[in-house]
Parts: sequence; structure tokens; C-alpha cells
Amino acid sequence: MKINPDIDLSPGLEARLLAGDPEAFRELVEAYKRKFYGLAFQYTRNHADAEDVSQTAFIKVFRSIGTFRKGSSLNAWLYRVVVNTAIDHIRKRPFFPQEYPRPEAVETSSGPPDPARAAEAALLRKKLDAALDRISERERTAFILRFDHGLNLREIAEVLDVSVGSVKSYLFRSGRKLRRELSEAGLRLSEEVPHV
Amino acid sequence: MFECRLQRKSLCQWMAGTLDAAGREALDRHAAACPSCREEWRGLQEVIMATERKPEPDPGPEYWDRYWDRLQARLETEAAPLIRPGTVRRSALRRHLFWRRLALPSAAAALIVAGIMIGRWSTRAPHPSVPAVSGVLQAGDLEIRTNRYLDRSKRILLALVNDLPADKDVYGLDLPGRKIASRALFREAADLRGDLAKAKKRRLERLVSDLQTILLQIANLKAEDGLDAVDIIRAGIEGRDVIFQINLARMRGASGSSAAVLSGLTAPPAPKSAF
Ligand SMILES: [Zn+2]
Repeated sequence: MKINPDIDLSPGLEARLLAGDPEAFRELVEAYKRKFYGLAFQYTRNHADAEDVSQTAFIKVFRSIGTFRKGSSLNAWLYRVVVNTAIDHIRKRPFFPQEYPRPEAVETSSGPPDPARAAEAALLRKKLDAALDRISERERTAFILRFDHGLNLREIAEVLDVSVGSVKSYLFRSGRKLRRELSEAGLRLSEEVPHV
Repeated sequence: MFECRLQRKSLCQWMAGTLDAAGREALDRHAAACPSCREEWRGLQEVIMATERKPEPDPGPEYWDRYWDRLQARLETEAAPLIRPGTVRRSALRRHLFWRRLALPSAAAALIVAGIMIGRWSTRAPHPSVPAVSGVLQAGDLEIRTNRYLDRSKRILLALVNDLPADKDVYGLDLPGRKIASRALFREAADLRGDLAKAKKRRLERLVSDLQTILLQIANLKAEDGLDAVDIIRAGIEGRDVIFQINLARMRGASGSSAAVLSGLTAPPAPKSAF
């Protein structure tokens, strides 16, 4: 059962989850923990908060799985819980750090380490993160869910509680703004972009 | 200019992944002739490519291996609803009225199955994630472990006895959390009972054994069993006076041992992983 491009859930998991089967919940956690953490990290930018937000989101899923409407998208419902938890969390935070310390253990790459490439990737991430901070919350969420997490337009619309048309304009606006931010940051992303 | 405005709409569709073949052809043609739209399109492509090249944060395999253990520890302390003093009587009455309407005949059968399961599970080897307890275990450690076990079980039992059903779901929203915690405690019980038997703590061993039965019943609750199944479990808790027995055991155990009292107030440590 494929409800997310990267996640393969066993068939019937949704029904077992709704019946309160603890094994089903554990399976869901194992399948989604990286997604939850990754998304939480994108909002909080530090390891401790990403851990806290992702686990709080799972606890909320636990408590409120009974409110999930059968027939709607479980993937979207899960993402909605994480996005709301993350946004709540950063709103409660006294200030939003501009220079976020990177978690020590973060960044494990498969393949041989290449310092130059890693440095370039880290720089890119930092600039993109900084650019994402300067666009609106909805535009940022739409952009991250579409391009980092592969959600489709309808799912993003469910997460944000808006129409599919609005999602399209958030995506377009976020793309244009990010482009402007990145070129102002002096980042030449590539010399020659192949025609997609 | 009109054409540019039209093609901006196509760019928006392209960004959303909904541009059809004809639209794409038109966009290609226009971009070839219009430097401003070409530049805009190229910019959007660059942004998407940058996202794809951005590294994912990954705290490493050890972090992920223990993720569930940490979550489970939090669930045990956070997912159980708080006991609301003074609401027990009223809530019990409301619960009764609410549940009568939802009585299902399968409830009793489910508990019989649970009973059979206990027989099967008790003979199973201890759960691999629970570290084997050796004979060098000290009496104080066993006391702390027992107290922690009793406190955690009591929280679940109290939640079940006192909780009001939520509107949307027969069991209320916290049931999945309680079921997971119950299963974990059920698994721990086998080791604990063995150690209590070795230490000749017969009364405590019997109490843990009673708890094990109830916890397994909770762990095996299914939505389709209906609320009568919960009522049967409640009757079991009340009939055996389990919560009173726990309080009694805790009072005996806590006399003169502040560590034991404290252990009941703090969250239990995450179970040690097998690797
Ligand atoms: Zn043009």
C-alpha cells in the first residue's frame, strides 16, 4: 500500500490503526519517523527540537487517530499533524535563531566522503533554508511538502486546508521568491540547467 | 505582453506539475523567443534542482534504532489521560448510560480469547528487548523495578477506570496509547514474576500475575469488541481490588525507601535495545 512516494505500508494498516492495534502504530512510526523528523527539522532547524516535535506529533497521532476520517488521505492527515505541531512549536519559541548550529551527528552520506561536495551541499542547504525563512508560512509549507516530501496537490490542499488552486499559486509564488532570494544571496546554482 | 501573461499561467502549471503536453509545447515555443520568460523558467528549474541536491538531516542509525524506545517511554507518561479527581462517580454513571447503547455480544468472547492468549504467552521466552536479569540482581533493584512496574500499571488501570468515552470513538482517543503501554508491561511481567518468585515475594508475584492478565486484556481490546469488553475489564479490576492491592504494596515497599518513592514519580527509562 503506497500512500507516500517513499513509504510502503502493509495492506490493511490503516484499518488496523483505526482499530487501535498497537503493532500497527509501531509499524506506522517505523515507516514515518524519518519523514516526521525531516519535516520537523525543516521548521525547527535543530536536532533537539526536531526530535521533540516529531515525537510530539506521533503522540498526537496516537491520541487522535479516532478523528481521522476514513476515505480521506492518511498521508495528508499525518503531515497535517506534523506541520501544525512544528508551527506551534516555533511560535512558542522565544526567538528564531538566525545561525542554527548543525547537529553533530547529522549528515551521514552514503558513498565516499567528498569534503568539497559536502561543503557545497551544506552551503546550499543553508542558503535555501535562509531563503525559505523569508517566504510566508503557507508558501514554505506548500513548497517543502511538494518538493521535499513528494505530496501531491490534493494532499497539500488538505494539509493547509485550502483549495488545490491556492496550492498552485503558493507553489508558484514560493518558487519565484526563492529564486529571487537565492540570486540575491549570490548563489549560482548551476552553469547550465538542462531543459526539463 | 499578453502572451507573456498567458505563459506565466503555464509556468504556474509547470511548477505544480499539471501542465499538459499542448501547454508544454506552447511554453517551449514562447520561451525560445522571449528572454524574460525563459529566464523566469530557468530560475524555477534551478530552485527545484537546489531542493533536490539539498542534503537530508540524518542523525545516524543509532538514533533511528532507539527512536521507538524513546517514543514509547514518552507515550507511557503522556498518552494516558490525567485522572480527574472528583469526577469518578459522575463519569462512571455517564459511561454506564453511554455504553449500554453500544453493547456488543462479542465482548465476552474477546476476553475468553485473551485468557487463552495469556496461557500461550506466559510459556513464551521473555521478550528479546528485555535484558535478561541475572542472579546478581540486588534486592533493592528488584524493589525499585517492582515499584516502577506497579506505578506504571496503576496509571493505565486508573485511566481505564476513570476515563470518559470520547464522542467520536467508542474507547476515547487515548486507547491506542494505553494498549501499547499495556503490551509492554505485559511483556515485562514475565521476567519480573520470575525474579519475585526467586526472591520469595509470593504476594507481589501474585499481584503482578493479576496485573498481567488485566494488561493483556487491555492490550488485546479491539474496536469491534465494543465497550462491554472494557466494562468486563473494569469489573475485573474492581473485583480483584487491584488498585487497592497496588497502593498497599507501594506503601509497604516505600517505607524507609525514598528512592523507591521517587522512582514511581519519574518516567521509566527507555527499555534497553537488544543491540
Ligand atoms: Zn514572455
